[in-house]
Amino acid sequence: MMRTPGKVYNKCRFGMIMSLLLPLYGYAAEPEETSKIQNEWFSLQVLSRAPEQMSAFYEGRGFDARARQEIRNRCFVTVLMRNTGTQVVWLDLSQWRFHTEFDPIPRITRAAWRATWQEIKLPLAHQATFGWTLLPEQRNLLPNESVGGNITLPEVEQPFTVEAIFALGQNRDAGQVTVKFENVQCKK
Amino acid sequence: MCNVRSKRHLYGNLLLLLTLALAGTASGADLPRGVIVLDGAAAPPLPLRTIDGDAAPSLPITGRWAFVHFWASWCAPCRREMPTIQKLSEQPGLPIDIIVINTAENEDTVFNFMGVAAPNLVPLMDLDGQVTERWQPRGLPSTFLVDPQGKLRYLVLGGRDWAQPEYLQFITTLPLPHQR
Repeated sequence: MMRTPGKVYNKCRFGMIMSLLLPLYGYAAEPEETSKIQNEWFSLQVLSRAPEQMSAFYEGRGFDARARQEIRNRCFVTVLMRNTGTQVVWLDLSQWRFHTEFDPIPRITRAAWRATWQEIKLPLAHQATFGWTLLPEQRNLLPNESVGGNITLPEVEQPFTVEAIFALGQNRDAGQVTVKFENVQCKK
Repeated sequence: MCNVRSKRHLYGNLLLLLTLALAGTASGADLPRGVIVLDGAAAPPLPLRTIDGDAAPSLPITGRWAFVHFWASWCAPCRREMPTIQKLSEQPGLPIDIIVINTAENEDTVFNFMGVAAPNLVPLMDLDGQVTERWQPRGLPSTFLVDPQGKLRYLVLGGRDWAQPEYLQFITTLPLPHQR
């Protein structure tokens, strides 16, 4: 979903640490750029979305002004991932961490969104659409399979870091890969 | 009565025929890319209506497989895949009924989309998205292949080109009840 034309996204600083003690990768960073990594297991791209961009997307799906205001008040980061290797890669959002230099940033969960939508009585159809645009909480990504969707955070002024751990193997028993994106920023 | 050499010849031919048969059916090991074998659980019901107001076919469809495809117009892979499903539907002698289910969009949106992408297909409308939730596709788009007994046999990850020979071969050789 919401794919963008291919570009080379390598301006953000990111690092990858593997449990297998493979090298640490890093790049110079500029805020508000998208970033992409490619390793021997998968490609992973994160893109910060502007509030108006997200609002317009959901307005096009019929979301009313109140729902769009809730959306504009949050930070949306689109994640696009493809398993480019030969073994299963486990996407598990419980293994993702977000933090500024000093503070952790709690991810806004599906349950929190559900409570918000129920409070403003968002129609079930729109709740379903919104749910399908979020990144799945968990997915055993098969070789050549891709997945995409949004992660949502509270509005954050400062640049922040995204750290994600991916287990490998059919039974999560073939090691793990840690990926780090630094200097990510919520778009204004 | 056969001698040893003719028996070997016979067994050799039988083995060759068996190998060819397995290679030519969807039950063989070499599935097309993106096709996942499921455990054969019963397919959930489809309490839906088409965009024209007709009731959905009830599963299982006697003697036929069902191609149950979930999609939404806002998803880019869905937009690419839908025209290829129409091409698949135009193949003569398909052993499968094609069912396309829109997830949680309104009739105007679906009508406008299908008029361009696949004008010959009549979509089912999952207006509140709850049927899609029960089927639990891995994402949009996704396709389930339901056998003539109503069992979920395959999940096909989104973004396939159903007009490609590997997928046409796969679909057209799905085993019917008398072949299993």
